[in-house]
Amino acid sequence: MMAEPVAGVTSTRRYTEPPLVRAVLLTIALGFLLLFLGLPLLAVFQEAFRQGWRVYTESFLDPAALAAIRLTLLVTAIAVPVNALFGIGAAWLLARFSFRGKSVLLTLVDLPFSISPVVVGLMLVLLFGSQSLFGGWLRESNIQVLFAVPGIVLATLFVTFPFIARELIPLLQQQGSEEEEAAILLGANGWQMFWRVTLPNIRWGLLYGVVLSVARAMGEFGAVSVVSGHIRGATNTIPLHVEILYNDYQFSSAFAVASLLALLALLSLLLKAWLEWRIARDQLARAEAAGVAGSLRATQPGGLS
Amino acid sequence: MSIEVRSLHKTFGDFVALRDVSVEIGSGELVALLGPSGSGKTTLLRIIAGLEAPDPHPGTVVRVDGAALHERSAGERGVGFVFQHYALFRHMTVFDNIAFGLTVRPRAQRPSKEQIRHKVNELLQLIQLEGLAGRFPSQLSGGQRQRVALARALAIEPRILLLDEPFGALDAKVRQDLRRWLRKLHEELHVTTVLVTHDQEEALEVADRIVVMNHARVEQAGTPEEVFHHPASGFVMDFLGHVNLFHGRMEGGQSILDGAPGPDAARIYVRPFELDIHREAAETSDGGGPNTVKARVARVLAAGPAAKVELSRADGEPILVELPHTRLRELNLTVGDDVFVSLKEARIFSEDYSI
Repeated sequence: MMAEPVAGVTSTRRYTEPPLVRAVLLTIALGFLLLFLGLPLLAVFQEAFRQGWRVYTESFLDPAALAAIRLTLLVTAIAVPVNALFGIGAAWLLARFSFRGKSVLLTLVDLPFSISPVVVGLMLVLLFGSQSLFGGWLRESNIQVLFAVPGIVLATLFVTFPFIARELIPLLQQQGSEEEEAAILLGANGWQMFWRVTLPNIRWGLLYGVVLSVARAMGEFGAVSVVSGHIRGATNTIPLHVEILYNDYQFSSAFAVASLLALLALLSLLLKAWLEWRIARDQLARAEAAGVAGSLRATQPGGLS
Repeated sequence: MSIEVRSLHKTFGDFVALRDVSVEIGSGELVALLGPSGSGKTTLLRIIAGLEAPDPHPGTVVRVDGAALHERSAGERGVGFVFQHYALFRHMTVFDNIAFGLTVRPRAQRPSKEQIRHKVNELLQLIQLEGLAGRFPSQLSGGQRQRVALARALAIEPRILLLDEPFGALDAKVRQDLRRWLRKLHEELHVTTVLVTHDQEEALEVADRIVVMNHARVEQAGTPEEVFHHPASGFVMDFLGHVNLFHGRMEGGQSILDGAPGPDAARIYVRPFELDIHREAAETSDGGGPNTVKARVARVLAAGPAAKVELSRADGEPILVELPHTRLRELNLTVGDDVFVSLKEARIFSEDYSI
């Protein structure tokens, strides 16, 4: 009885905030965004073009830069599909089944979020370095992990692992397993169920996770830096190349290459926004299709009558 | 295609969903599993479908069409399952939804595209949605979606049809229409059908036989007439419709509604339509004897197929009486009138059941 008028007061107050207060708050928020996000971004492009278009384009034609771009693309092309595969697997396992140690596994999926990338790199050095557990065997088999592409791929895999799994787990949980059960009872095998029912239902979430993974895979610095060995033209990725150029006082080239990463970031941001909109639309359609009670029921484990 | 379930147990952690459940369903029957939520009826249905595994227990038997569950995979069992919330494939059109079960068959058994189209059109006709083949589930009403779900289940020509509260999420009018339609469909197709419901009216109207479940057990199995007119327990009586509860005792085969506690105390259940109202005690069937109770009219509801009169006894206990409208008019009751309620029929359960 008492709560209603109180709630009414607060909700009307929200709309009667004096214009001055609103203006000040907005200015502070936008000013902060401009100062800490807009200006640095602008500075990157300004620095990149300081010596004109020619230097800008030449920065990319340098063999070392081209090698860095190629390596980054290669690493991303390996790490993201592998993570998509394992991300779907892990999400499926964690969303559909209950088993002993599930919460431990869930925490492990999140581990890369909480570990400093440098520590990730050092972990790999400890695992695959010459004095390590596998060092002797790797040397005998003539497999180079550290200071080579495999090491960089492993580091990237580790830091990008959670993005896809984390995106899919809540999505799968929210959708429930009824559609999949229906597919199986209609005679579909597991493969048909996955391709024709599960995957189409999670495609936007999956793509969202892929976009985040790509952005992170291309931009990763710390972990890759430790395992790369910084061999010019061989084991430098774009971020490492930027650092080397910067340390060589080639500021314009450094910022030119950096602007490429910035553009990639902006592109992922746009894609991300579009995908968020798609996912929201899909969920709305689902809520309408099943009724609110349906989506609520789907989140409950078990199917007790 | 008969279903045989014997000594079935199922627990989820600490929760006992089914305790020593045995049910037999004959070929071509339409059986309703009726019970309150949590009584285990959906779990039983899911075990018959093979979506849930029974607890390993000696003596447990689950046979569908003579074959144990583990002998056939879910797809081979030929089970049509309809979920309460439809579970339609939301990114597929109505046509693709219905055709799904045919298109996933191994190439050797898969009908041709033309045959599939023919079959789907036939089913669309059956569910009276011919024009909507190209729609997506989100563009259909709840009742239409449930009919599509049913057509999808029927497309694979199932040997048994399992329906999990199929009309639970629909509003009353649609529910009633679909209920009648389902009965008609069953009479045409004669597929062994198991329907889970918590709606006693639905079960009474649609089913050949009803299995009443409560607290993970089967309370009674029988025809609608049997469970309604000869309930095996107070629970079944109570669950199948409103009942008035009187405390009384039995004396020489006669019920006495005096409510006196004693060693021969019994609960006496009386349906609202098994009571009558009289202005004078002398007019009652036993002339104001032990089966007549004095009460005051609290409310008169003259709308609906039968008139309902709510009364309250001297001790405050409510009584609900259903009368034909003609009888109500004869009595000309107004709220506050003191009247006599008498028994036409009653069922007595000794103190084994408590609400």
